[in-house]
Amino acid sequence: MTRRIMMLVVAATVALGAAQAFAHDEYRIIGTIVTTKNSVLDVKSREGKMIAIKTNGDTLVYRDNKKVDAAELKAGRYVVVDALGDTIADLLAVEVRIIAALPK
Amino acid sequence: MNTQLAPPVPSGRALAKATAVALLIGIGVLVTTVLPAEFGIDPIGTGRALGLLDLYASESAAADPAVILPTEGGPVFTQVNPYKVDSREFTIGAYGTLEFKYQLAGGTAMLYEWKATEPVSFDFHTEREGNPDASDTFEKGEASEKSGAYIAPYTGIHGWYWKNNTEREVRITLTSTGFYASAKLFVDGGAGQDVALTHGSR
Repeated sequence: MTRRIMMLVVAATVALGAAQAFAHDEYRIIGTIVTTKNSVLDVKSREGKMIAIKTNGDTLVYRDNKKVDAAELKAGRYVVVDALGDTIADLLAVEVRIIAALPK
Repeated sequence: MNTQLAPPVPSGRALAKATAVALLIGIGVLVTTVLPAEFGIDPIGTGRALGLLDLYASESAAADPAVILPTEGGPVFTQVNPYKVDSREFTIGAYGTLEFKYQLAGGTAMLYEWKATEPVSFDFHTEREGNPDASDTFEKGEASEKSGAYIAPYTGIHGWYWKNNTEREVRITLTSTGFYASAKLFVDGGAGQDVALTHGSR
């Protein structure tokens, strides 16, 4: 029993260490929401590139520095998305800020 | 009528005798005590017998202090390369991001201070040399200024990722000194570019 607990502790420590050491890159995307479907935001960036960003229950959505419901994420809205991922093609939104206009 | 008696004047022979005796006593003191105690010279063994050679030895030790080397993991760690000083100002556009890192070898130190015109999100983190995907974040939050000391736990690039969460430009001034070799700047998630240190070696 003790050996099993020790093995679990070691495995958990290794997993946590690996998660910390190989953290995802952080991305900030500024653009316009084109579509929202199946927990995926399709955002057209200021540079004109289409980027698909996943959302989940932990994704925080703000408008005027106040937390709002994810339903506020609608096509045509301007957003600043902070997302994590290994590449820009595999992003999960951590925070989405709805802004009044795209910065120049 | 006063009569004063003049003191007796010693004869030349008596003076010579007194001088010779004083000279002999002086030589005796010099040989038996001064030479052993001051110079460690003991021609007739009185220095050893009276313990005067120990006095000479302790004085010599005090004049030549012992060498103490820094211990590994101790508070003092010497560096081979000279330290450098760097100060610069960044402007981050509305909702923009900026990343700035110094190249530090493992175990080398840096002191830093940065101030922003408005609160910004910051993330002090690393990229390990040879494995940029291996990263550690050591401090993260929102602030308009920070200062501190840092010892790189391993070789790589070490520095800040700042995010401007406002629709206004934010200026950040950074001043640091440390045993870094170079610096790298990343703007709005773009590829990093090497930048020259502003003051170089001191």
